[in-house]
Amino acid sequence: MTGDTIWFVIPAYNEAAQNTISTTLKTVLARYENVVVVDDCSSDATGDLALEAGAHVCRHPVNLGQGAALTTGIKYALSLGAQAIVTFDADGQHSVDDATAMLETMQTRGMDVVLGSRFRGHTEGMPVSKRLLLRAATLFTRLTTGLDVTDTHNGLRVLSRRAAEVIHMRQNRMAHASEILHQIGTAKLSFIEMPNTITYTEHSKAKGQKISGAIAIIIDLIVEKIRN
Amino acid sequence: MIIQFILILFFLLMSVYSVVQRKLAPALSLTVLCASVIGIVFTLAPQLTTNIAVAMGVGRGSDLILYMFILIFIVAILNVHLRIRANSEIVTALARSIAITSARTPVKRSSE
Repeated sequence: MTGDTIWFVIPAYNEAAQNTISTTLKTVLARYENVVVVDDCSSDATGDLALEAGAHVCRHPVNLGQGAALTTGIKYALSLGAQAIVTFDADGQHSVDDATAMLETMQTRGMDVVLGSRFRGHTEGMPVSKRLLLRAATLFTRLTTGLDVTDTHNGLRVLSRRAAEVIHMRQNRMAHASEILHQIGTAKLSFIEMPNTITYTEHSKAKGQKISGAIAIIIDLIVEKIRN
Repeated sequence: MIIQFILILFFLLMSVYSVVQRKLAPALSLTVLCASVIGIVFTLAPQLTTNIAVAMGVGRGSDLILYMFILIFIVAILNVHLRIRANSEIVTALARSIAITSARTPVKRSSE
């Protein structure tokens, strides 16, 4: 795995304000050359800014949700020969250092998947309500997937090519986070969690998931169970 | 008696519609046709619903009709919901393929 086969996949929706997407891309592109931003039909200049910053840009013609954007980005990266895929949030809450450490761990320990965890690491400025919500989500996922994870809705993940090819996200919205874990379990992919630092800014707090979002996730997952 | 006229007219229209559409969705067409015929029978002989209701342990015929309506309604809603989701999967696949084929690559890097 060399540097040019590592791809960062960044789903983005209306991240142009305060140059959020540009700032995030600057820190990533300083160290990695391949970044694809999936512009989920933003109404602002997110796509143009991303292209200007030096990322590849795939734009959904309609808004589909974060899960769909990740899948699009992963498919694009795989088509260009990616051997490792890093999923990364557009709002600048993740640290590139953490991603680098996770990539190294994947390589040295031969893991299929490396997941970032807020609860193993150091988190700055997380509101109490968010902490409780995430704990509940984690408990729910541990019970339904049987995986021993501490943080289920973390956007920072490293997937090997093999894992990226096996995982098929059908959930377009936010339920994809549980779905990825479920598929890691069923496909028996090896995974490890690593602590990572999250910086909550006012911007990321405003865009983050709320209780209503959690309920929507649970409904999405239940309907999926009925269908299968 | 006006209500009977309105209901029967409605059920007849439904029957005609379901027969016309039978090629498109045979099972649904047959279901609607049967329901319409039962509807006409119940409209002409309301006492019949009460007899069936009493036999099933429900107080009144109109209550039985209400319960049946709720069940059918829930099934119909679920059906529509699943169709919408199936549709959204198609839209997703379509949008994804458009996004990937029309991907823009950074100028600086592709000229390197």
